[in-house]
Amino acid sequence: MLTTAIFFPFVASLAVWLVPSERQRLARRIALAVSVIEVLIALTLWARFDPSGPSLQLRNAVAWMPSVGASYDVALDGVNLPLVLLTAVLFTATSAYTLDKTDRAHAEVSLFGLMQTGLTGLFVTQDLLLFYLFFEVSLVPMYFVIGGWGHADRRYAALKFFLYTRAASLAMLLAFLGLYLASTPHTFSIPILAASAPLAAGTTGAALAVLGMVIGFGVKLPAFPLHNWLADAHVEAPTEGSVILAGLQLKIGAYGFIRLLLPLLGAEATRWRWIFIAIGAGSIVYGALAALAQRDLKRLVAYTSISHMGFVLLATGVYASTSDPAVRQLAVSGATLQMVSHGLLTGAMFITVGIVQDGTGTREIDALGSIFARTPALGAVMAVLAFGSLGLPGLSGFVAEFQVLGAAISVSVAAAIVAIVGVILSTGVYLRVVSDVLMKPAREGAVAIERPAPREVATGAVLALLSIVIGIAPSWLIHMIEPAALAFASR
Amino acid sequence: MIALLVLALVAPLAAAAMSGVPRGGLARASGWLVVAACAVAFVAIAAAGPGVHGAVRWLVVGGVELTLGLETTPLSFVVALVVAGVAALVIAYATAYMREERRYATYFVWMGIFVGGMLGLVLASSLVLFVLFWEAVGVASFVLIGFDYAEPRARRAARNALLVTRCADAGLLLAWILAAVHVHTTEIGALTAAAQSGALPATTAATLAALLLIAALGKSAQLPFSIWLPDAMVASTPVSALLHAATMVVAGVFLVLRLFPLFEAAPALRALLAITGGATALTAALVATAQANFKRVLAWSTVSQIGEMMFGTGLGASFGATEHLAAHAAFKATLFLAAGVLERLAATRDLAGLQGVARPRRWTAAALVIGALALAGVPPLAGFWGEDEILAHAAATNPALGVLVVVLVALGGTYVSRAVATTLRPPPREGEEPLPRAMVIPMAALAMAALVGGLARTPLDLLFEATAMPAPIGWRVALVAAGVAGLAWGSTSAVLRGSVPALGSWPGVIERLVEMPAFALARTALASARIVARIEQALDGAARSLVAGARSAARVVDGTEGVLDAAARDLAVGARDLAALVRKGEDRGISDGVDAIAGLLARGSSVLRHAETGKIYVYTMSLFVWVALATAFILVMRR
Repeated sequence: MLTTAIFFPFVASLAVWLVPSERQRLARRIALAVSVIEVLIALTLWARFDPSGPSLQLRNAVAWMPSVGASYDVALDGVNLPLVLLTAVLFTATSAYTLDKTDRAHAEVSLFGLMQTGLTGLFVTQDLLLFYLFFEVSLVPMYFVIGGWGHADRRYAALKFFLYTRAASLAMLLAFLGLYLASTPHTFSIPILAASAPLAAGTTGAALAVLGMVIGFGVKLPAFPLHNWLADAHVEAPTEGSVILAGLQLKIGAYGFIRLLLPLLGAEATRWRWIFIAIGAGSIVYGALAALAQRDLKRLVAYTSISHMGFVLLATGVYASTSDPAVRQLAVSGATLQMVSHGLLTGAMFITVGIVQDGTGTREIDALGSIFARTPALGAVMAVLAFGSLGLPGLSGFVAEFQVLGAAISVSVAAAIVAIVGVILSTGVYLRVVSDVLMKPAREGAVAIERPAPREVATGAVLALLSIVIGIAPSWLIHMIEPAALAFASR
Repeated sequence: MIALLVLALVAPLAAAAMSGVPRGGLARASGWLVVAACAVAFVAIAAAGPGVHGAVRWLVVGGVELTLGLETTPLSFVVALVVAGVAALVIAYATAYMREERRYATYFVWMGIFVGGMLGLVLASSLVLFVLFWEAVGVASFVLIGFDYAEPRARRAARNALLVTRCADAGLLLAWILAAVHVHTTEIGALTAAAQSGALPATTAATLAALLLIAALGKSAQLPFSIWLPDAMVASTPVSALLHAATMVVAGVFLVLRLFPLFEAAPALRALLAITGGATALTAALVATAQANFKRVLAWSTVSQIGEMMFGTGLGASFGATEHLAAHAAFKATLFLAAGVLERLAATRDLAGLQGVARPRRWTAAALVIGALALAGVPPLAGFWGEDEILAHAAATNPALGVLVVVLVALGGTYVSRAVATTLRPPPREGEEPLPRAMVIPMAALAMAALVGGLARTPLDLLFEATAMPAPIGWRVALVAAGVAGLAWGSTSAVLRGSVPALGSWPGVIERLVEMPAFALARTALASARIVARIEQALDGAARSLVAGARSAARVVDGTEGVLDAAARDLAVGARDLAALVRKGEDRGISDGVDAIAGLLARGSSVLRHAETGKIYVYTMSLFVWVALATAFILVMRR
């Protein structure tokens, strides 16, 4: 079942090649059907998942390369199931958004299918080598999507994205190899490595392994100062690429910190806790400040991701600083919710920004305006997303951020205060969007936004609605995460 | 009984939701729908009475129980009644005032959310709901202040209002989380009980009090956050009336009153509350005397009056502050609604243009005079009793503080009478059009409340089970004398000298000083943002040179490869030549084989050249193929 969920998107998306190349719309329809079926598969997984059951469920383990101790090992737990669901939802959103896009549909659909396979596999794998493999599988198609379908400066952006991420994946791979070599017998199995903790805290090996993971996941997250690829990649990528990039690719870093670094190198991570807290809280402020200085709407939204993802790193540091299970549980649960919440809100934000760009031909905030007056529906969706992103209660961001802050406040009030300063700064950022893009009358002679396709606006609206559902009734999601978070916490 | 509270909360929100639906002629009904909802809320709260409490569990996470609940303490009961009552009247007024508005229904949708949010935060028994509605009020105020968003000033004021209050909200956001982590529940009752019993560590109580103080000062536009409120005057007058009298600004004082046990547990913060409140009250009162715009006089007046409430609360006069809150709601709403009428008549808010406008308008003139008298604390009007109580506590703490209250009352009389007397000053002007009744009746009703509000004192006493502390007779006389003197000075000044500032123009300097910290803060944030943008550019430059470096390195490699390639080609050609030679003498079989090898070599070298030229496409394609192969392998293994 889980294996089906992983490979179905890629295999099924190959079916578009059976369609003649001039029937681009049909290819897009097939892609949408594939992603909807994948949502159904993900929902089935959820239905079969028992929150009160054992920590790893629906496990599917086969020896892969027994000689090197690597296996094909996938399983669900409370932290990765929300991400599997998020993956299915966001890919459906991009399929729906691109339904009328006729630019080399076949190739793009296949690349997205491969990417979805890579991401789903990455989230559920229990083997480090397989994690690395899926990491690359999700990375390479994105390079082609940016380079092939992106905007004006796409080549540079794609190359930069690729080089940064390759460097990250190599650092990560070296850390994995370190763990592998230190374990006896040699294994890549995450549960075994987590139980045996082969690299003792304080050794050079452990420090290097943490460093490798920090670089690897820090680039993906991205955390200051490893984030510079982010703005170019997000801005130059086509809208659907930006959605996946922000909504899911960044979560690789977040997931890595929570799900790999902490369980595998928890003791050593404790020695690094202040670095995590400082970089996390710092990134929250830095991302907001960088966003504040932008004139390009898409670039602005891209930078806010650094701020939101900083909460995950802050949670990592908080987790490493304490042995109080309640605080640790808050940290893990908050970080996981933040991943889902950011995926929904920022994913939807990129969709709406894409609609604005397509409708007006510009992303310059100064040249935009009158969105409310011309298309109230789009304006309303963007306003909800902006207010949700600045952490207003009633949307998912609030539920996520208060948990991380609650955990942080028990460890360091100063860190919580720095984080709150970042939240306030991002209020300024989003208010600027609402005031200057949505409310301000457009400049004389500016291209008036055409009435966007209702389907596109609805795509953003559905994601916003999911965020509201989580914001108002988060208990189902928290209960899904809770046992896993507890299992983590008691480690 | 809890159902009544739920009804009181849901009614305005439901009315808001329903107001958004109808189109065309029916949209006109939206205003009255919200009015009716506020009236229902008022009746429901009155019927529920104090002492009702109900809560349900929302979430349990990390050992913290998050609840959703409503309750009426004596305090929240009184404030909720004030909110619902004033809102019903002000919104009724707005149905006429906003008649020409194109987005009429939208306006009332947000009015409904504004009032519903305020009722929610007043009635909330859990911090989660409190924070939720606190933010809802903030967003509604943002939308309503910026309702006329084509105006740059409206956009600016709206943005400043939300930005400044949200800066302060940081305090509340941290405080509720900190409280929840310590008390393991979000019930406000549990938190205050823990503070009273000493179960809460002293440092935690102090931290909480400090954080809450920041939030309250921001929402109530106290120093150093005052800047947003006067600017928010660009909003339509009914919004200003609500903002000042019943919602938003009042929320800050309410927060302090509601969680006062935390301040009692932290004496230093309680003192700070009194000091900030007193300083704000004095500063704002002085600034108010120098304003040239009727609504800005009222705005600074609100800052001052709320400061007095904070001051009184800090000195222990919680009851007096609550009384003053209710009285202030009545007389300030009266003055605002009257200001709206004047604005309608003279098409300006400038005092210079309002001269004599109210003179032929009996009802408006009466409302203005009653509002002014109540503000100046003239007994037995509503304003007196709260001032008296605050004075009693102040004088008992330190006579100098008593003098401060007396001065505040004198200043209040001065600025309000200056503004009101200007509008009554001859020469009279003829009114251009009859006023809609929906504008006159609410104004008159609120003026009546300000007039007779003082009579409600006994029931309030009973409700709070508090023995009111009357000020000693000497102080009381001084209070009344100060109010009257202020009124006399302000009105004389206005009648004799027109709309010039009552105490000279120097308080205008204070106004600019008050604005300075906020501007400095905003500049700092923007400057830091620019620095960050520079860092980003530098990082990008580094990345670009890295990419360029990689490219040139690739070119060098390409060159080397070219040499190797040429060598390989030579080798291949040589081999082929050799083969040609051999072919002449040897049988075809061998020569074919050599030919094939040579061809392979040539092809291989060219493939190699492509693979190693640093062309990332090719490289990634190889990786891609590898991944595909591995995937296939796994699939085969699975079977």
